[in-house]
Amino acid sequence: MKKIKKYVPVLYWAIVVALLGLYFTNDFGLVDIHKTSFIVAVGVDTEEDEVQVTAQIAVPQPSTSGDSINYIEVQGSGFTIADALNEINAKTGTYPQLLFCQLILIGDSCKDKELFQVLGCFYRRNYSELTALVAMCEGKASDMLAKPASIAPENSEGLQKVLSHELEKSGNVTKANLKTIAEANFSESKACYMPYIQMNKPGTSQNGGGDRIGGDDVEQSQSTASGSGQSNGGQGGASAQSGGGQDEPVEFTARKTAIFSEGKFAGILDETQSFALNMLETSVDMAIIPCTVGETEYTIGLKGISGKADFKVEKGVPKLTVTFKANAQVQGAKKVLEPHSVVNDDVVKKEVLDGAEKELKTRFENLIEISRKTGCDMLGIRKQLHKYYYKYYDAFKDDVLNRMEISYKIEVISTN
Amino acid sequence: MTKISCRQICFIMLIYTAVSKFIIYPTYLSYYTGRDLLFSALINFAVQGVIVWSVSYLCSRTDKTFFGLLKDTFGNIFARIIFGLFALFFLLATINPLFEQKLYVHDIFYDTVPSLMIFLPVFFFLVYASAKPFLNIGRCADICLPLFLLSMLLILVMSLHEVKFDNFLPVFTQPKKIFSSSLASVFRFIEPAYLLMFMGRFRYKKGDAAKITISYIGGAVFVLVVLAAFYGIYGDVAPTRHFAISKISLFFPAIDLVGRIDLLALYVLEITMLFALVLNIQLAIECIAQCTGYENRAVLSVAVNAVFFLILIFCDNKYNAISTLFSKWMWIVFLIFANLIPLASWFLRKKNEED
Amino acid sequence: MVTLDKNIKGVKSVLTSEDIIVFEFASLSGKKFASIYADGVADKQLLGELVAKPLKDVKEDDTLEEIKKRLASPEVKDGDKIADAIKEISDGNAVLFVDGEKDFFIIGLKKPPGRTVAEPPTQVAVKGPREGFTEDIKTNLGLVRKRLKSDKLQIKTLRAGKQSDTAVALIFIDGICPDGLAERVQKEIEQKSVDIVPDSSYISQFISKKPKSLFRHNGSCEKPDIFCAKISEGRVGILVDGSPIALTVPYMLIEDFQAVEDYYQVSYRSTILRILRLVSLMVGIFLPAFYVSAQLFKIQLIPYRLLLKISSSVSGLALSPSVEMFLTLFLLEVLIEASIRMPKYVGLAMSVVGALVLGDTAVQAGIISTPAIIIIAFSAISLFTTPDLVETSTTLRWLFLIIGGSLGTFGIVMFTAFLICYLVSEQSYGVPLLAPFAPIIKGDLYDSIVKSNMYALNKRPEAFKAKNKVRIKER
Repeated sequence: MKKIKKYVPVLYWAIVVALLGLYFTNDFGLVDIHKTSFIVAVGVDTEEDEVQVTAQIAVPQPSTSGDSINYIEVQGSGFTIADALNEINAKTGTYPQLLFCQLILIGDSCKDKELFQVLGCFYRRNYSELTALVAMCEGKASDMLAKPASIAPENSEGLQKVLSHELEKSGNVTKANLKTIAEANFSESKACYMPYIQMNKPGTSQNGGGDRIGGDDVEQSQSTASGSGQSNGGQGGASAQSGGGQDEPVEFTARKTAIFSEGKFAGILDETQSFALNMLETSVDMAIIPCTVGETEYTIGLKGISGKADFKVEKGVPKLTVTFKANAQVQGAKKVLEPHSVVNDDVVKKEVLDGAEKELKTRFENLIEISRKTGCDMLGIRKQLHKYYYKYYDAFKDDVLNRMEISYKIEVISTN
Repeated sequence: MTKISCRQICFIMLIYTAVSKFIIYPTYLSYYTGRDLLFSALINFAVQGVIVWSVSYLCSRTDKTFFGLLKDTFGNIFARIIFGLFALFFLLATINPLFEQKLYVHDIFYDTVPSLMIFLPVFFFLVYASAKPFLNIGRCADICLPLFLLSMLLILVMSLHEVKFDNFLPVFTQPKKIFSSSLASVFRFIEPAYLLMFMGRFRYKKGDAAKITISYIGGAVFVLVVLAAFYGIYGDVAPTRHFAISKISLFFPAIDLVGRIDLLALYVLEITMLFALVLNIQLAIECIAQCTGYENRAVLSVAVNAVFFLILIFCDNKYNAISTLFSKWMWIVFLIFANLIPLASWFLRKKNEED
Repeated sequence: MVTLDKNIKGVKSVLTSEDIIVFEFASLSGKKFASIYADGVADKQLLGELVAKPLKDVKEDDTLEEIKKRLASPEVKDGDKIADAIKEISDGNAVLFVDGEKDFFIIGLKKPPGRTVAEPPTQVAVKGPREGFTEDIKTNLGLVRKRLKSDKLQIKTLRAGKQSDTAVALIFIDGICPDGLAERVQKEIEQKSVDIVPDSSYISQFISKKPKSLFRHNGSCEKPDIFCAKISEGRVGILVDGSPIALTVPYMLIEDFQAVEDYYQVSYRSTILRILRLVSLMVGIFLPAFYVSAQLFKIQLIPYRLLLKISSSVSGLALSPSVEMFLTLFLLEVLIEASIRMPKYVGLAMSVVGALVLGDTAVQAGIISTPAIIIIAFSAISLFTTPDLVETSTTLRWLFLIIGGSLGTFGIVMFTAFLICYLVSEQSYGVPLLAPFAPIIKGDLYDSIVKSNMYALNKRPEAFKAKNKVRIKER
């Protein structure tokens, strides 16, 4: 035993020397910060059997103050996203880290594919975190990622701004991440939705109609840029362009919502329908709706919002109650402003309140109508049936959307 | 000779019970049982809780060690055989957690390095810690308690806002699966065997049995909360997420600003996981020492860990096979050693003939 | 009859050094005396005032007793062996031989050169006493006596060092200190045979069961108020002649997180500061290691925006993250060591070199990055919040850096677990090093990381098993 104890210090020194050797060489397949590229956004387009992935990569430039970052777009293609990323790896010479990917953009071309055929790769073990936001975009994802944003220095930051928490709280956008999409799609409702991003030139407004249900082609508000399959070098301050030439900055909006049923694209909700969906499915703090009373158009601000779509089975009959409550305040009106009337903005006239309620009801009705037409259970009716009324599930699961009786309890009261 | 205190045993029941069940167990249960996973876990905990109470109450009736009880009832040779078997049992009970640790470590500590090579240095720690005397077990538990509580508090606070409790509805849709997964999880519950080894090594005072049982229930509560948080956050997607404890706090809003601070809490928790792993080996060495009479802990520690080292190398990438082996075939062994024998120890002779 | 010359020769034959002075004088009646002392250590003025002057009136036939009564010195001992005389002269006392007498007197005239009592440089108190120990053991004993006027205060004097014959004083309070503790310490000191004991650190190694351990097993302090407080809790204190650092045993690691001011200010402030020290120590030890291991093994640890900045800073470097941090830490250690050793006059120039050349220029040259400098600087400052642990913590910082850079974040966790396992089994004279945390001692937790108010600390620490447990009692 004493002999063994004598050699213990030798062992400790041997360990330290071995560790020092490992420390200075790190030669066991390590991929460190120098060899890693940070993918901040991924755009996915499909072409026949191939998947085209556009990765927006943050490339830090040498700087003593640490504030020189270049963003480049690199494209790769393959049979799966992992394949495509492998090609990107080969082009950049760095190991692509999806763990910092904050946005996954699906192009219009993916409408014909199964959603989880496109997104499935991201759910593989630890490939990326499920916190990444997902959105569908008008046109090609690669083009959208290449456009400079007017409100942010780099494109993905601009895109994320239109999917921000603040916009979600104002009911203007529907946020979805990988987790919520998977949860919704694999639930009994088999339906999910995600924001639909469009781009405009600054100073133009979004087309109010937008794409409707039934898989119609989305209106192209911007011509798509060329440049698939190219990668750029890392120099130059702003986002690098694909295809050469300096594009004008664009404005992104995400006020529409793409809906999916059983993994397939089912349509796009316009702004009013998206608004209705947000009121019922998201916690909204403040929202704005227009309403018309007589010949005057008002803009009503809603606060203290609580909205939900409650499903019940009463005496064997499925019933959906859409409940909505909010406090209203007049924020604007299309008439000459009388100063003394501003004082009473908090005291909203009954007819204006009724107008707001009517507008809200119309929106909710539209939403449910679309849900019935497409069979897309975006309100999670089947899920609620399964959770709370399991014994009726088998009886109603196939046609509950059409069978259910709908009632509305909409209450908009004046703030004062 | 008093080597451990009741308080330290309570900490072991609270902490070590919980940490070993945070890694693969939630994913396993969510895959096999779905939303009824809490009931499956509850069954195991309830059964084990009763046995834990039974063994700790037995400690009030005798101040002999388990070896002493066996010796007085069946003789020295039989007692040594039993302890030899218990040594094998504790070594067996270490295999699955060891492999789980390897996978877990590779996931949360590293991005791109080879998993086996980076995990093998743990054996330096295991050899050193396993060779420590019995006194060490309790004191390590004393240190692990604040580490465990702080890290769990942080992780749970960061996870609870994302939990949706209606993910658990409807309940009891597949009752058969609840029981079958409970049975298949028996190999994860061995706390009564720990108590058998602690018997006679602490000074029993009135109320200690209740304290130990309540501590065990506390550990069970932690596991159930983590299971609830895991399934409440991920719902039907839960089976795709391994290493549950590292996945439940990802959606905390501040993570974007301050980075993965939940990883720091997980690293602190890992310290308690390592000590939980070491406990099995220390008890195995204790049993070998009792069985063979060979007291040199350092040599025993090297020998035992060398066996695990070889198993890890030769069975690398075979976790699924090992897990299936334990859940499908080895559960009977664990049932006997961690459930039946502790209950049967009531029938051992507690007092000497002279008494 | 022994003549004066014979006695003088007896001493001078052993103490041949030229600084051993023989002062021969006689009384008015012709009685001869000789005083032998070591020049520079004995107080010559006192020799004249207390010895030579009073003996002027000694008569030829006066006995030794009568001569002793005339001496004005309060410290006069009898001696009869030349060996004792030699020892006392070496110690700094003066020996007085009387012509015709074999016996002699030992006069206590020690006044070795030394510092005055001043504030110690290593333990500064903003609020509280500013006296510190000096190198003179008698002064130090005086400082202790000044604060502990108890009749139960015991001082046991030992000698250590074959050549230095250094005085070592064991101090404890009888009735509080556990039985046998002082004897154990005494035994440990007396069993060690060494040439010289220039400092208390030698004694520290003698009394430690594991002198090679990274963690010390005895406490130290430079201030008498801290020393007395520790003794009153049941510890044994050790003063070593020639060293201003006093030792105390048993020792708990938590002592190094407790500053003297914690007891002189409000308790909640003290608690916050103790937590700050603990956190600072953790940060100081772990931060460089985590920084390197995050860059090499687990990039996710770094927040995204910070990661981009760090990546931008390190992307142009020629060195890998591990080498860069190693080099930066090495530079820091060189700077610290050089700043202690260098002459004061060169200090200003060197600080310019350190700050500008090594810091700023190295970054401009792309050898090291700005984050690395910030991390190392912050780590260095953090460790000095617990100055008593600096030696241990800087070593640990190196170890963690090497382990973090080679084995990654799991290596750091493993080594932490290893240290915990090591520390829980360490003891200092029966008191666990990690008390009151492992094992948990409830009563002692009130003065651990948390500092309760004075009335909550009415019992002495249970860890020391003091005989008298009550510290504060209402009358």
